[in-house]
Amino acid sequence: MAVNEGKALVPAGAGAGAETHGGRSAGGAAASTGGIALGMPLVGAPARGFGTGFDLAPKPMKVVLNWGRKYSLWVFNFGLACCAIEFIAASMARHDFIRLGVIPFAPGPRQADLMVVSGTVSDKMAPAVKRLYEQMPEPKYVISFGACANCGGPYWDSYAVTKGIDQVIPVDVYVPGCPPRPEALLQGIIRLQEKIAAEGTGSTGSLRRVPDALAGAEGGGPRAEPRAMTSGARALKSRWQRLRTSAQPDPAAPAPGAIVPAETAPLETAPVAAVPVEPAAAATTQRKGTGSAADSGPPLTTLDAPTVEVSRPEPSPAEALTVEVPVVPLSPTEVLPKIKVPRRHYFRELRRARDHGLSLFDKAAHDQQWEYDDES
Amino acid sequence: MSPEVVRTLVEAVARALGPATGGAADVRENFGQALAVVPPDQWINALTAVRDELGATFFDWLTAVDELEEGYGIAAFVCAPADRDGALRRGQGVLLKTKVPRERAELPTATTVYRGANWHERETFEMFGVVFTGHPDLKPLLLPDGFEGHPLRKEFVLASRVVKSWPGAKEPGESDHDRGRAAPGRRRMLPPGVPGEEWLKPLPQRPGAAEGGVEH
Ligand code: SF4
Repeated sequence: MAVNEGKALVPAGAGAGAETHGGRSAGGAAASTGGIALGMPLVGAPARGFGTGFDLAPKPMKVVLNWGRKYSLWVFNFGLACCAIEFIAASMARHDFIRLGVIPFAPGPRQADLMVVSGTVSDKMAPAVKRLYEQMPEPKYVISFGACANCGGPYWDSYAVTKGIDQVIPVDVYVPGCPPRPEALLQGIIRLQEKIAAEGTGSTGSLRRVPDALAGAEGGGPRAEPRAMTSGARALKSRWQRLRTSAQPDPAAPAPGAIVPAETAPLETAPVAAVPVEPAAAATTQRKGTGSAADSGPPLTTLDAPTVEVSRPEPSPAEALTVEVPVVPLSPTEVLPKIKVPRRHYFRELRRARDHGLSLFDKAAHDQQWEYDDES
Repeated sequence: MSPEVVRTLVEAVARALGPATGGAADVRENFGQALAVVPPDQWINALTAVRDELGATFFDWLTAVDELEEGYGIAAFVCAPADRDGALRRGQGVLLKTKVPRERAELPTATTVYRGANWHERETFEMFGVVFTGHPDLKPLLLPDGFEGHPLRKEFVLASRVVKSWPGAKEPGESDHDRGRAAPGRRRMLPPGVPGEEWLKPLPQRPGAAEGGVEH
């Protein structure tokens, strides 16, 4: 999986990339995180509707509610152009934003929490975008994905393209790029989740955006200052690192003989140590280890996700909860046979494909009576 | 298609269009295709002839080109969906062209011959302002409601930049980042249809405007 390298995950552009606006509350001035304030018009309702229950709930309750909300974002893809393909890529197995709790199967806007506007919004389409946005139940969030949805993109001069979806609906997170990579969307989603986590709690989340109704009660507070932003970026980074360690190993990442990063080892063993000795759980751990080993091919000895063999006496169900499992220190294992890579076949296939293509070309040239110079 | 096939095709088209248009059609080979240029008053006759005599019953597309002082070129491509005796082979087609003057951009509608021309003509109408007389429902198709003007005409000004300047940089030296280091004398690039730099500057104060004179 490509989710291994922190660098790959947060591409250079996206580092300063996914920008959030003060949304409905802030004016155009304190708009972006660090880029040039473009003075984009911000429209929409002044506050998000959470319902009275949320407004009156004590702060710990709000934290829990926000936590629940931010990891079950049913997303509605307003795919309008090329960027939609990148959105789809982000939803598929390789980038897989479902692991961030974003669920791409909302049957329609009425069932969705998050709308991702990906693509070129034309003036004719803009009312439809607004209409579907209004059909979404509160609280609702919008990610503007791609240069077109952010500001019109390459069609700035067009007679038909809306200069940014934020002229029509309020936007929470902007993801720049033409098209942005799926990783950039992942980062945008995480930004949004941080924003959601800070909602209504008055916490100094990196992306705090207190709804106006609550801002008075909580004493408001400075919005989106650069300082808060940098700490947000740090929080983001550590989150990625955490994510990365729990992700599957990338077979291509470490060179043979590479030293297993020190942080990786204890984290990988941690689940095993914490596992109460239940046969099923142990089996899962085992399977996970071997599965990734099978994925990663031949250089078995250099895997940084080791297969941990837990030797244990068969415990009775009653004592299962009390037995301590000795954690075997990590060492290279030789559980699986090496996989032979069929290199030769590959090249032979390639040659065959080439010859087939050439013969097709010759046939076409003959049929169409093309004249071509074969000598050069 | 081999040159030979194209030659037979052009001959067949010329045979069909000659009598139908009273010899006014100019049929020739053009990039491996049969091209027939007809005067606007023979447009319907030519379309009818290629449909009935050549079996080109499939209407592919119709559009226009703004050729400035020469008027608007109107082009349509029709082709044969199946082999037929004495007519075009399957997939062969004819490109028909005509030209209407700028000041009287009118053409009889092709919907009487090909019903599929309906939306093509509506689109051509809204984009170029060419009126297709006799069209059953000539109203804008794609543009948003209330759009004024014909955006594919060359004189249509793409004025977004006048309202708000493009926030990015198209070329080195244009962004805020390297302000002051810009290469001097670099020619500014403007996309077609975008008014020149003079549009981006505020209008000079005209004498009379300050005294409440009539603007423009
Ligand atoms: S931002 Fe670029 S990739 Fe995305 S929709 Fe616009 S043109 Fe396509």
